Amino acid sequence: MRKTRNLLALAAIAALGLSACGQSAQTATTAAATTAAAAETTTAAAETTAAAAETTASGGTDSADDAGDYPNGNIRIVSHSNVGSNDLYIRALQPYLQQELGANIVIENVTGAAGRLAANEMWTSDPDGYNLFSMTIPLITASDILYDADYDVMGFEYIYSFDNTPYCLVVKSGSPYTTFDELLEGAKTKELTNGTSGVGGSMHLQSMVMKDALGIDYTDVPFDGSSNAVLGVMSGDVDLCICPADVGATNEGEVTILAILGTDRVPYLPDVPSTHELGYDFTTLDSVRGIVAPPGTPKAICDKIAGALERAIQYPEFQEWLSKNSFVLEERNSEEYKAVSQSIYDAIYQLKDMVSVE
Amino acid sequence: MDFAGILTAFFASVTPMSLGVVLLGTFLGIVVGALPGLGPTIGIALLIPISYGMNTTNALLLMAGIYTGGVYGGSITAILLGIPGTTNSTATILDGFPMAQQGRSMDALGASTMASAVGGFIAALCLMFFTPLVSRIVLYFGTAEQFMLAIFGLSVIAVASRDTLLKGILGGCFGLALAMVGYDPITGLDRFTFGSIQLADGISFMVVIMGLFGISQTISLAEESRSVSKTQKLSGSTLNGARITLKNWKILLKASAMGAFFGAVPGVEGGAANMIAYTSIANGEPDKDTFGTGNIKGVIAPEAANNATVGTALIPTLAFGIPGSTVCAVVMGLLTMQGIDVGPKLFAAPPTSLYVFFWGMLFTNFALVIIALPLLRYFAKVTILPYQILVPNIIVLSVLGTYSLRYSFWDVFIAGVFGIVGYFLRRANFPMVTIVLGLVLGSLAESNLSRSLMINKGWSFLYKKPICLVLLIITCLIIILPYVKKDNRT
Repeated sequence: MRKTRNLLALAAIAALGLSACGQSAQTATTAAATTAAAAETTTAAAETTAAAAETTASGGTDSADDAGDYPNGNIRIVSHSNVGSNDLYIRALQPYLQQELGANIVIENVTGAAGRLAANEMWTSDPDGYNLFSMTIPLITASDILYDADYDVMGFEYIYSFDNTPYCLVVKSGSPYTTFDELLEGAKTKELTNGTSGVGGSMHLQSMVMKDALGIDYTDVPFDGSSNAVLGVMSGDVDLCICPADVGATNEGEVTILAILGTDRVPYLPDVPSTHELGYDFTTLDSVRGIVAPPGTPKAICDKIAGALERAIQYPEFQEWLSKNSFVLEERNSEEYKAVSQSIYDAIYQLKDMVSVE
Repeated sequence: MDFAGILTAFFASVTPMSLGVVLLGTFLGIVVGALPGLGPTIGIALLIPISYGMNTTNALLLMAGIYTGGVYGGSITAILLGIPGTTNSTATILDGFPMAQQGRSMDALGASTMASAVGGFIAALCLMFFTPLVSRIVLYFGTAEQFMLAIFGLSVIAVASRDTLLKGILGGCFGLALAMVGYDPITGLDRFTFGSIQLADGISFMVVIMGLFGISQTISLAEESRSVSKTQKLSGSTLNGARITLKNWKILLKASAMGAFFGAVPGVEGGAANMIAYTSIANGEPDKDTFGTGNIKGVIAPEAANNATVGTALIPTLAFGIPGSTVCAVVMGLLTMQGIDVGPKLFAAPPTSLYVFFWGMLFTNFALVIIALPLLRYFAKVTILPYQILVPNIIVLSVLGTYSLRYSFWDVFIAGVFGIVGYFLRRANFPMVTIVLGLVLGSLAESNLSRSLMINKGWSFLYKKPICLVLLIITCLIIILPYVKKDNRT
């Protein structure tokens, strides 16, 4: 009797131990996800095939043939963030992309060192089309230029990008500064403080570009991430914050958004002027989110993925998700994506010496 | 107060299907929380892709269950094996494991279940009814106040060490030093990384805890050639443990209040809350010298506190869209996907699904008691397993758990190193909780201090900001009082 009890307890531990294998858990849930997503999207697919047929896919039938039987296995998409928009958007797109590519997609989070760990890993991953990188620039660009990185952000194969999130300038609601011009005046007479997501981070870089171009100065105070920087404004620790527009929009009410940094307004903040409108022009480092692949991934496969991405984005459920979550859809194909990445790279490279890190 | 919405959500959540989903979620959460290295974060992250095909009510209830069960689940391995399933259960080891060694694991498990359920229930009530109010209070705790909170947390080391103050301070300092390793967002520099990108990400406290408590435990067990329970017999019962917990309702309330508070304030997560609750409550009890030797109150306090952080940690997440921890971030992700738009606009027009989630958070605490109390007595049998079976299994579990944190063998190596360190520290009667406190609170204290100095151009915030001043005074009192009392006696 005692032996049986011991054996049972042992079996319990062994079962627990075996089930701790993260990989098998992941594939099991992805299989469930595919079935669930497939059931939901069969009706949606019928509607969207018509829309997809009209969209000019950069991967036509010719390249699909050249891609061979790709995909015929699980595709791994690495996400360098496990919080916020940088991760959510690829998770939201996953079911529709799975439908379009006809393969299981597993999203793997590799976080740490401001995206460097993920980028380093993707740099040396197999360029077989089964390893893809869900990348947000300028974060990955900054980590490449400012720190010791094994990768070259311009060396990746740029497949497709579809999101363009500009920065905005927020102050606490009730702050004495009610317009962008008032804030600039205030910066000239008082010592203001600006919350950033960390030294060398995108918010900090954008802040430095703006200060330089407008001839003003204030202290950049680094927080741990953009959310905490905005919280810093709300609790009165810092006077302003230059944050991604979607973060600003979420907290509208507690914060007032004075301007969108760039040329255009954003649809989810229709009453907020852009800095260009107000008469100020300077380089803006908008967040661009898209998919890249390790260097050497065959063009045919990249084209096929780009085509699938383009079609997946058209699904009405995803479009609805995008608008509810303050994403601005701006699609760029491979060449355009690489071009915007290069311009961001050049802008940050010029700031290199101004940012005091090793 | 949207009573109509609350009621509608209530009826949606009490259908047999919904209640079943809550039970399932809680069960899954317990399993995921009990496995070292996993935890509610991974549980909910795995849930997100599955939840696409689910209806909103079920997805939300499932998540509520996994979150609560996950935080509670860590206490199972903490008590039975001395390995924390999550950082939230570190303090539970201090008395829970000695109880298991005395053959009283069932009492400990019952106590932890009931304490977790009560703590979680109280916090879920706060979440449902007081979120708008609490969220205003959260805004009062800016970077200077968070620094003082971290210092207050660290001062608890003085209480934890009592007679071995020197060792306690050494441990705390060691923990603080460990916290400095890695990329520092204030200066943008990599510190103490010796050029290794693995170290650039810092030393994860879960890894340290697994090594210090888990692996060093296996060495002790093997050395003493026995099973966990020295008496080879099991006494007590889970019901008994639950009963004793309810008798100690004052501790329950104090610990839950502390947990609820630390959960809401940004920065200090549940990981520190359970240790702070443990040491402060231990210090206030008449039988404080028995803490650490198997006093059941030492299980009640941290377990109530850690489950209390669960509910209130969601308050800044919901009210501001600002997740205070990784778990909150994945919860926020799932909420967003189910159409709940977090941020200040949420409570202006709360969707019914939000209240469904709140009810789920309340019910899951009942589910905890219903599921855990009957099943745990089987788990308790682990403590009478012979060490030859137990030790290899614990090592395998620890290695798997450590590896699964960041898919890094480097972490496993670090855990091994700390395992050996922990073994020697045990022999020297070192209060290891002080190392963990230093590690968990260290980076919080440092980054907030840097920011406060930057913003205020000096130390003036210590006396100019009222909350900082109050915390400063309390901290000084905590450190000085034990010595004053001693003098009065002589």
